[in-house]
Order: sequence, then structure tokens, then C-alpha cells
Amino acid sequence: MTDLMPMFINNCRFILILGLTIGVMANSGHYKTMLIGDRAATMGGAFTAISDDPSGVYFNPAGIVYMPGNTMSGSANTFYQSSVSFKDAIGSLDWDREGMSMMPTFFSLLNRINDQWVWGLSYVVPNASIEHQQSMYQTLTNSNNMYILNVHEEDIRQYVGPSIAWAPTKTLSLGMTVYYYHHDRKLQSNQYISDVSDRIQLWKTNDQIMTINGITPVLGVMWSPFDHWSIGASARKTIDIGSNKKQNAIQFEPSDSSTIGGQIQSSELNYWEPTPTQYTVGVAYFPSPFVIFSMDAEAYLMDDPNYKNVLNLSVGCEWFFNQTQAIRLGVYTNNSAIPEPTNTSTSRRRIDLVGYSLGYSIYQSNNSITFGVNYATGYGKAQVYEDSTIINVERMDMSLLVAASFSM
Amino acid sequence: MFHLRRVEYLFKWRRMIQNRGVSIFIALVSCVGIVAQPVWSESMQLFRHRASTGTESNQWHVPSEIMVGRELANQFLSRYPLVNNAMIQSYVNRLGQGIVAMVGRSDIRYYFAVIDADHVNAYALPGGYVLVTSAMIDACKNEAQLVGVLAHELSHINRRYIVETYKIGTVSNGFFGEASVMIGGGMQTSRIGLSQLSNQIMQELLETGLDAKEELAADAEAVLFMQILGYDVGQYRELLLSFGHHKDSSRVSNTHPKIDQRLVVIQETNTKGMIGRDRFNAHVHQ
Repeated sequence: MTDLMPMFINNCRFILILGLTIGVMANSGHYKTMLIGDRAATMGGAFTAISDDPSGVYFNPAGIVYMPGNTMSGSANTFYQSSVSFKDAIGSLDWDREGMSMMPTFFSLLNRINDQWVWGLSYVVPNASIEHQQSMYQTLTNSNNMYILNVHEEDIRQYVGPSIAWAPTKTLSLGMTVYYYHHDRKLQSNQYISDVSDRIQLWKTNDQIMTINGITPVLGVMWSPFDHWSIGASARKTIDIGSNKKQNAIQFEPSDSSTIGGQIQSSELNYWEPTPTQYTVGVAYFPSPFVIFSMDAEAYLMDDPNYKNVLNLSVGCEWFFNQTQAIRLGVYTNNSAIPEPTNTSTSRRRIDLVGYSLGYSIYQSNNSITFGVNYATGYGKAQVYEDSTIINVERMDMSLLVAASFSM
Repeated sequence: MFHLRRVEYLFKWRRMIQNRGVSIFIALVSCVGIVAQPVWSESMQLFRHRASTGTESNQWHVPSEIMVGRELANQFLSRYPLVNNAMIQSYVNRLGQGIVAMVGRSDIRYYFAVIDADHVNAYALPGGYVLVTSAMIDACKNEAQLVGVLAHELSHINRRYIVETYKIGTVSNGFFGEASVMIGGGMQTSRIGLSQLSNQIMQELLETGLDAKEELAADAEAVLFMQILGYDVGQYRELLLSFGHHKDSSRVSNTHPKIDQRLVVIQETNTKGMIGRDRFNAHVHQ
């Protein structure tokens, strides 16, 4: 307790003087928040060398030319929950943030033109989170009576667009998807601190609306040099076509015991959120109609010096234990692009996650239903005050999905 | 200064590579793929097929097949009513059931009926429904010829031609099938509505005709069935010849291959397909 006291007092002092920095909770520098599809989502996202079903348009459009049949469609609904806990951020109390969403995250339709050409259309939501927090803390220190913290954040990213795939030879295919990208983020926060005499010590509100529009082409190639083996690769980069950010911020601080001084800031500006150029390479082994093993390596290269390049790995397997039922397993990393907090940085939050996926599918003639769960967890460091104080942070993501697919 | 310049140089190269990375990357991989063509893999990546593709021929097909057949039968009967002659209906049905007892499928019930239509034809619908036009009955000179017609249609049903062609089996698959439809948000893109499906099949039956190979295969199987049942195959041949010489050719449906082709198949099957001939000769006339 004695060892914790200086930290406790320091934490409270910073909160009570300046409040917490309410940064983005969801998808803080992560690129695999929600896995897409039915088979892919339950194989840890290791799908670049497979991609022979409707979710292939997102992972590697070259693979859709190998879909069985002439028409295929797929959709998924996902319940997603993310919990982040900043340890001892408010005195000896943890600051817990939780976001969740329940929505359709994927729909795709594929249609075969002939043996060599397939086209598709898809809608993908790789990230959707809504956080609503109402917290009140009392008597954090002898001079403090009340600290109120309210946060509401909505963060949704969406892709929609067509795909085309071409197989010039029996073992090689090329594909492209062109997505329209839309990212909508709203953040409202309110912090109120009063002293034991109920006088306002600090009142901060912040209202941000950010809208990003872009075009994201996805290029893919798939090659099967040997029977039962497949190698896939894809590349994508989001190009800005128009974005803006509006912000209203109000901060009141008492200049002395009897008056309150404040500043109001309002701004609207063109804003572009840095996005990486993503390269993915995958390999898959199909030893029999009952088993697949696959592995992906994804590199995210950032131009912006405020972000790090990221390497994510994923492995997955699919096992049909009879003709009508299959289970899938996957393990994946979801590393952060935010650099490690340092003594000279502020407002950085870096958590590297490791995820596990599990799925079960039932097949009947030309349709299937899949139930899946993904769980990711990780520890890291964060800076939640106006200065460079570093604290521990823990994050847990979980998603439950129900998906269906049809083919003919 | 030198170190700074080196860093700037590397940073500039990194940015250039990133900016052009997509096109260079894809071009390189494509070139490797085109140049390094394997010579041992001729399959269209059949290794990708999952075990679930085997579910195409599973227990769920039969109820769906019967449902589609019933819908088609309804459509036929709305166009061509049943002949109002109980004696002939009973006779054709008993004849058909006799053939079924020897060579029919065990997983469905068969129904035989005569419809009032002035074109010479017969129709095999999925699920065991066989419809013979009154004009076809008129064209038959004896029971052997009628048995040949019924055996030909039975062959189509036994071979599940329409079931396999239209992949019938997803119309109603129980709880999980319906659940997958609901989760799919009603976007039943791989399921053609029952009425649309039956319209397509009707068009094939009434206008374009079945695949020529399928018709010839049904002729061959009809010959075998007639041999099993003890009927003179020559009468089936005579019936087909009479179609070619029919004084009113417009009454003869053009949904089948040319008569000459059919006669060749019948002749070949009748010669080869004398059941057990080689076996008999091998044991008796050794």
C-alpha cells in the first residue's frame, strides 16, 4: 500500500487537474478486430491461399474462381465485445472501457460467368463497436468530492464493392476487388470534477465526428504449383477520396476560488487517418476433402512516422469429421501499430493481442450454417494522462458469429 | 550529416517501394506463375472440393424431388387434363406398376396417368410421375409398344436426370436448412423459387427436350427393361419407325433425338444386351 500511495496520489492529481485523455478505444492501431466470413473467421483469418468461397472476395479475390458450383452467397452476423482495462488509472481503481456491437458483418454473392471468370459483390464490416460509459467516483482524495466520467463512442468501418477473378490457366488465377471504404467515428466525452465544497474544479467536454471516405483496391493472385497445395498473395491500400473531422471541445477551469475561466474550441478540418499498405502471403495444404491446413503472414506498412509497421501471423485448420459436419480452429496475432509509449511520448496505447477461433459448421445439400467464436487477449502499456505517465493496460475481445452460405 | 543523408535515402527508397509496391508485387508473382507451369497437375483444382460436396446425393433429395415432381404434375394437369376414361387410366397404371415392380426405384412411389393432349409424347417427372399423352396411346399398336414407352420414361426417373441437372434438394431441408435461410437474411440467392424452378423444367420438357445423350441412354435402358420383362424389343423399334412415318408429323413431338439415332441405339443394345448370353454360352456351349 505504501508503495502504491505515491502512484495513487499522482494518478488522482493528474485526473483531478487535467482529466483523462479519452482516446479511441476501439481498434487502437489494430487491423484484425473482427474476422470476416464463416470459414475464414473460424480459421483465424488464415484464408489467403484458400479464398474459394464468398469471403474470398475480401481475403484474396483470385481464389473465388475456384468456388464450387455456379452461384454462391454467404452472410454472417456477429456479436462483438471488447473490454479494455487501464490498471490503477483512477487512483487505485481501474478505468474500464467496454464496447460492443451486434450486426451483419459480411455479405457476399458470387456468380460464375464461365470456367475462367467469376464475378462477385460484397459488403464487409471489419470493425464495429459502440461504447457507452457512465462512471462516477467520489472522494478520490481529501480535496475531491466527485469525478464524473461519461464517454460515448461509435466506430464503424465498412467496405462495399465488386470483385472479378480470372483463371488464365488451371493452376493460376488473378483477382481484384474494388471497395468503397467508409469509416464513421463519433466520440463524445464529458469529465466533471468538483471539490469538497462542490465547486467546479474542471469540466471538459469533447465532441468529435470523423468521416473518412476512400477507395480500397484489393489485388490477389493464387497459384497451385503442386496438387493439394495453394499459394496466395494479396495487396491493398486505401486511397482517400474525401474526409473531414469536426470537433467541439469545451474546457472550464477555475482561475481562482470565485471565478471560472474557460476556453471553447470548435474546428472542422480535412482529416485523413493514415492507413497502411497491406501485403498478405498465405499457403494452404489440402491433404484430403476432409482436412485443410493454412497459414498467412500479413505485413502492414505505414507511411506515417506516428505508426509502426506491423506483422501479423495466423494459422488455421478445417476438419470435416463426416460429410455434413466440420470444425475449424485458428490462432492469430493482432499486433498494434501504435509505437511503445516512452518517457517523451503522450497518449499512446499499445496492446498486442493473440486470438483464438473455433467454429462448427453443418452442411446439407447446397447450404451450410456455421457457429463460431473468436477470443483475443493481450497486455500492454498506455498513457492516459496529459503527461507521459505509463500504466498497464489489458484488453479482451470476443466475438460470436452465426453465418450461412448457399451454393448452386 | 552522412548518417542523416543515408537515413533520408533509405526512407525515400522505402516510400518509393511502398508506392509502387502493389504493381511490382503483382507483376512479379504473375510472371512467376505464368512461367513456372507445372506439368503434372491437370485437375481443375478438384483437391479444393470439400467432403460436403458429397451431400448432394443425400437423404434430403427425395422429399424435395417429390415436391418438385408434384408441382410439375400440377402444371401439366392444368394444361392437359386427365383423359376421362377410368378403364384406360387403370390399365396404364397397372402396366406401369408392373414395370416398377421389376425395375423401379424403391425410395419413391410411381404414378402413371394418361393426359388429354394431341401431340405424341410422354413425360417423366421427378418423384415418380409418368404422364402419357392420349395421342401416344393412339400411336401404340400393342402392349409391347406401350411398355417400351413407359420403360423409357421410367429410365429417366431412375437415372434422376432432372434431379441432377437442376440440383434439386434444397427446397426444404428441415431445421438447419431453414435456419441458414433466415440467417442469410432472406437472400436466397442459390435457391430458385419452386415456381421458377418448375417453369424452367417445364420449358425443357415441352419445348427444348432433354439432353440428347440422356434420351438415347433412356432408349438403351428401355430395351434392357423390355428384355427383362419379356417383351419384344422389335415392337419398340416399330413404334419409333412409325413416328418417322407419321402422316401428321406436327403431332409428333420434336423433343427427342432423330429417329435414326434412336434406332441405332436400340439395335446395338438389343444385340449386345441379350442378358446373360455370353455367360450362357460360356457355361453351356463351352
